[in-house]
Amino acid sequence: MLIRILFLLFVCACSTFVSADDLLKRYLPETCYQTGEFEQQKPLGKTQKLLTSQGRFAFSCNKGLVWRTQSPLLETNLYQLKGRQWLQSGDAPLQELNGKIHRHLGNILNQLIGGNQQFLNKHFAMVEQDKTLMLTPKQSRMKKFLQSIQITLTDNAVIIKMQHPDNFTQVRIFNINNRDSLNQTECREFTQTSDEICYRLFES
Amino acid sequence: MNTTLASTLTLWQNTCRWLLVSLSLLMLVFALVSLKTGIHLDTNLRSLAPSFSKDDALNQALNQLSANASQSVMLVLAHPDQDVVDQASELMQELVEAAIETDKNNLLVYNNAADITRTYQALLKNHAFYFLGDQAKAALINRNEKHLNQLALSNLYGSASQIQLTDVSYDPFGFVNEYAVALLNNLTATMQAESRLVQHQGQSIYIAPQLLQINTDGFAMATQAAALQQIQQLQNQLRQKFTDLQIYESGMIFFAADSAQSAQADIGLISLGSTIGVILLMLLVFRSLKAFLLPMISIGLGVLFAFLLCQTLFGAVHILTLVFGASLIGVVVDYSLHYFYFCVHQQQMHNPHILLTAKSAFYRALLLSLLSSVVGYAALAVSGLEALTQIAIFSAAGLIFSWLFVVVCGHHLTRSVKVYDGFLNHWIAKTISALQVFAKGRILFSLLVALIISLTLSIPGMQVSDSPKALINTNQELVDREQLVNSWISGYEPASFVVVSGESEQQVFDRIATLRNQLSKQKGIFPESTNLLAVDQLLPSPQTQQQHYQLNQWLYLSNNQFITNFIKQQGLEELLNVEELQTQLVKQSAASAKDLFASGNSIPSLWVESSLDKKILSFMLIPKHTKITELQKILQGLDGLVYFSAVDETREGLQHLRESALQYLLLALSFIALLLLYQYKFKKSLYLIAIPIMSLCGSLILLMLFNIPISLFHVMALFLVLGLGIDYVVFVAEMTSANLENANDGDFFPAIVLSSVTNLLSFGLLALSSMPAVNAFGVTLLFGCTLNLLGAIWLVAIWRKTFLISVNQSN
Repeated sequence: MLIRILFLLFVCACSTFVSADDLLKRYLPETCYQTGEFEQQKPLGKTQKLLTSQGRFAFSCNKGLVWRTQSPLLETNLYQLKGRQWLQSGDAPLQELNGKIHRHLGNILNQLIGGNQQFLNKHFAMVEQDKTLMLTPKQSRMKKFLQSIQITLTDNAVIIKMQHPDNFTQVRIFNINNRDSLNQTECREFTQTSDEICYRLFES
Repeated sequence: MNTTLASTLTLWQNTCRWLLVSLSLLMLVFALVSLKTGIHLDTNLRSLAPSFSKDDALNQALNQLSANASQSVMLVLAHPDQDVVDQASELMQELVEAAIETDKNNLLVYNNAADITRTYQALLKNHAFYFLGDQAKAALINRNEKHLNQLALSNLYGSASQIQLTDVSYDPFGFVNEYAVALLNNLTATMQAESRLVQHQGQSIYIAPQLLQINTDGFAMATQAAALQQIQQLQNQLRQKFTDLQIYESGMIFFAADSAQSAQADIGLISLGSTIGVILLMLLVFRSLKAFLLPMISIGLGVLFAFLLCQTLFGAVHILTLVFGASLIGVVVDYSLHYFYFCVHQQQMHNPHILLTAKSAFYRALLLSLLSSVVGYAALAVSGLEALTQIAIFSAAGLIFSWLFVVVCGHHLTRSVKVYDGFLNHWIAKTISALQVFAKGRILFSLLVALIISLTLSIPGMQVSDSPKALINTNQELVDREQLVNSWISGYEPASFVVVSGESEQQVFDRIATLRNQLSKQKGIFPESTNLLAVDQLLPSPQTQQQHYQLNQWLYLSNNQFITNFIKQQGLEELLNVEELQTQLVKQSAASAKDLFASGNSIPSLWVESSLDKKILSFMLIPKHTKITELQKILQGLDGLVYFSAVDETREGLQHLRESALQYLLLALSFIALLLLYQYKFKKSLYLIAIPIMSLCGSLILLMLFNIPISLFHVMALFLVLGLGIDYVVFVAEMTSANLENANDGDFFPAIVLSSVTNLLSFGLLALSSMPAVNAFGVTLLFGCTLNLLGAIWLVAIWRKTFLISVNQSN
């Protein structure tokens, strides 16, 4: 009798056990070329007032990410996979960003958008709770600026909430288009950025 | 005078005996109490170096910077696999953090940006309207509202908002945040612990530097051991998990610990060696354990008295004092040896007149011997080095107390002690006999003049060494490891700075700006992506702060329509109130550098305001691998900016001390010559002073012949050579003359020989020390004591021939 109970428990456990890879495939399927739109929200300082911005992005798994904010300001971030980052505010010239934390956050965004399973498995512990995938950094160094990432799937959108020590950033990605390829022209046309941005992305 | 002195001494002996015994008992009680409360040993090797400057404020600041440097430890984790290095780095951080939380005795913390950030946030909050980021400043100067709006939006919504170091309540536009983020990125650039690829022995490996701070002075031995143990434990824990992980250490604590260990080993060697040597010699000559009573008690009480006195005067006894204190054994035992010989031979003096004369001569000789040794040690006190001053007081106090004990209580401890020195007498007699040919004053003084001339001619070519390396034991393995780590990791020079002086805070900033301007015209002075770290990177100048304030006045007071519209457009009415912001602006004052560095945080203290002369001093940290010569050239043409190197300053300090010490040596020689002149007639005092002068010249010449560069410590040892030399010649003068009617007037000479041998045993062992400073003492004393002994033997031969014959002839 005991053996039967144990066997049943084992079967039940197996049937509910989902690997980290499976979770990621479900929530963040790995993709190489992607475009889409986003809506980003973050609280103002320690208050509850949410600041909302909208924009578009273009992602190439072997080049990087162009993140174009269109409202309420015009700003473009370029996150190269190699690690370099640039910022263009409005029509101002492109400036390279050198901060370590900027670099880390940019890298994480690149890997999340691309659903890079190898990276995410290596650096995060994963658990599914209430239809939300919770990623917790394994490295305490990363935890100092990023406590967790929560990924929730809704109709045609993915919500990524990055919890920082003092606040959070929530990004809703929608109108996602997984593409077979992405070139410089297509990048520029979709993101509506300057020539230089997409040029730098594809030259890297 | 002789009769008076002897009677006085006898009376004094009787009255002082009980006083001394009581004092000794008191000392023992005090010592027992001290043992319970804890004996304080000063193990700080920094006190061996001269002060950097006469300015106390500057000294304090430089000592503080040195202390900070001594507290930094770098552990570089290395492995061909980057994942291993990253995981090890992660584990190490966890271990350190766990230790901080669970172990109250933990000394290790990570030197990271968190502390600096926290300190800075407090500063920004209180002086927010005096700080502006570069972009914000440019937009405000141009009064370009469109640009200002764009910037503010970017700070609220864009990538600039990813790192928030300020709060919207006092920084609604994020203009201060822009400044703070740029500052943090600058400061933390060298604190990175991320792994990177380097080449090592032809292989590519990944390294991750771990910069730790130890919460203790790296030069203090007591806590050094604890810190090193924790570092070792950390490494062991890492190696348990990552067996082939390489860990490279870098930091001043490793050098200090190595030197301290050498010093401790030296104490053991010298004490043991001296003690064994002296014991064997005593057994050989006296063949009785009773003979140990007087020397052991006098040495024990003398050292105890010296130790307690130094503990009372200085609060702690330096480890170097103990090293030299161990060599006192050889000097103190001399008094007992002389006393033994005197007591043995006075039994053979049946004539009361002869006995009294001999007694007077003996005590006079003993007193002069003490005085000359004390003068020799006392000269160390004027060296200017705190550690040497303590050694002087320790040694002089120990000698005086031991001497007192021997004189006052010796009689009771020397009964039935016999001397078995036939072999020694025989050897001495043969030697003196052999020297009869040379026992002429002409030869003595000719040799003396020749030595003086040789020395004078050699002085221009004399090698000198004022290197601060004399103060530590340089371990080549440690040096190689340090150089390897330095080749991988950038950082700042721990003991070199640019010192900027000024009458006002603004003047200091202006001078720094001038230097940066000059440096920007010349490429390649600093390694790539590095520059001098100075206060201007941590704080805007007073003038710049005022400019920022005026710009903010325009923004918040004169043009408050902009801010009102912005708040309304962004729907921030509930959070921000223009009147409150305006009130804050009016109340605030500029941030001062003094306040920033006085807050006791992780930011290195780069600012000193001297209360003495109202001067302000600021330090600029120099990146490692900077082309110092080129930097110095640029500094030469600029006012108020000097290059400071602790090594160079210490070297100059030691040079100055060495040169002064030579002058003091001549002064001491003159004083002793006058003393001898007072006691003896001109001709006799000339013969007596000739021997120590010959020993001094001979020691210096021998050092040069052996290609040993002369340092301060060699010169300090010459003081002891002088003191000990006078000791011997005084006994020759007194005990030979005193025994005019005694056929065996050479019977006192074995005491001099034994005395000399014990000195050689104790001081000579110092020559085996691995610490260059101690080694210098030992070698000089080895030469000097040997020459003193030979000179004393020669003097006996000359003295007999010159003075005893003339006396006999007159009789």
